[in-house]
Amino acid sequence: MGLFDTLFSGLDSRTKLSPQESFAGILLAASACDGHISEDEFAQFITTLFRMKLFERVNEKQFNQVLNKLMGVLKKSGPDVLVDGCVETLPDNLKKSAFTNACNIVLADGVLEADEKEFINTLMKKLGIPAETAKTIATVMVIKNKG
Amino acid sequence: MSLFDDIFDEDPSLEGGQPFGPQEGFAGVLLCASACDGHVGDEESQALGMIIHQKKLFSRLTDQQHASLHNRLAGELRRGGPEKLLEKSYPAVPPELRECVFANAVDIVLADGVVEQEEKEFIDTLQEKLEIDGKRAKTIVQVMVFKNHG
Repeated sequence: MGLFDTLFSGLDSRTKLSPQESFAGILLAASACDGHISEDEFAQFITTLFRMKLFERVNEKQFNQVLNKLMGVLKKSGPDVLVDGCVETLPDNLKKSAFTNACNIVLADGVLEADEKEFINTLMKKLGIPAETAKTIATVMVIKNKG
Repeated sequence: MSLFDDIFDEDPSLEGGQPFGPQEGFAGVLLCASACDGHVGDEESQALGMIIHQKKLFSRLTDQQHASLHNRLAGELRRGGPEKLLEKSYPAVPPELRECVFANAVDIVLADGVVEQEEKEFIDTLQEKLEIDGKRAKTIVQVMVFKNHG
């Protein structure tokens, strides 16, 4: 194992994520959970983050650093490991928001694939969102992404 | 009001007076959502562009048709304000997209993180005009608040 491998071989204490990274990481994993990131999904990912107060003090350079770090974990370990690391450090008050935006991203290209369904179910459990709430959120996101 | 406005108002066959199609109806409602507090914010404008870019409803429009749609709606908004634009837009939204346009309008209003009084009133009015069940509308608003939190 090389010197740099430990940095991205899962999210150990040295790569503890900030709230911004945690939130973005969950949405990036949502974009990538079917094996590829479509143009619509990536555009939705970027738009979502730039709208948030959480990111208003993050400049372009810092944002690119966040993105590179998350992409590194995604490529090396896949969306599941990325989500596990992000869920640990995501502030409680952002959990419903992260789940809602993840649903919005997987629905952004108008197609819900089996991998995406599984991702959303797993994310619901990892974030501790009650099933009834998750169902309401998913229903409204389907309505929003219709047409 | 300019000289041309009178002419357009009196003759509905002229540009500006023609009824809206589904695309104009859908985008018109969302433009009203962006403009209902008196200005169209950057976040609101981006959110509107993003929605239109993603919808299948708009996927067959050429760049020229997109530009023409934008100009027509912007012209209507300038001439008559959001109220008149809404009156013309909402009846043209296909019934199966009424909840969808409502959800997206709420998302736009919440995009800048602040809900002003005019925006609250706009959402209430839109719910009535689109005849969306009160409980259903409340659920949609609640989830959009989750979405725009943080």
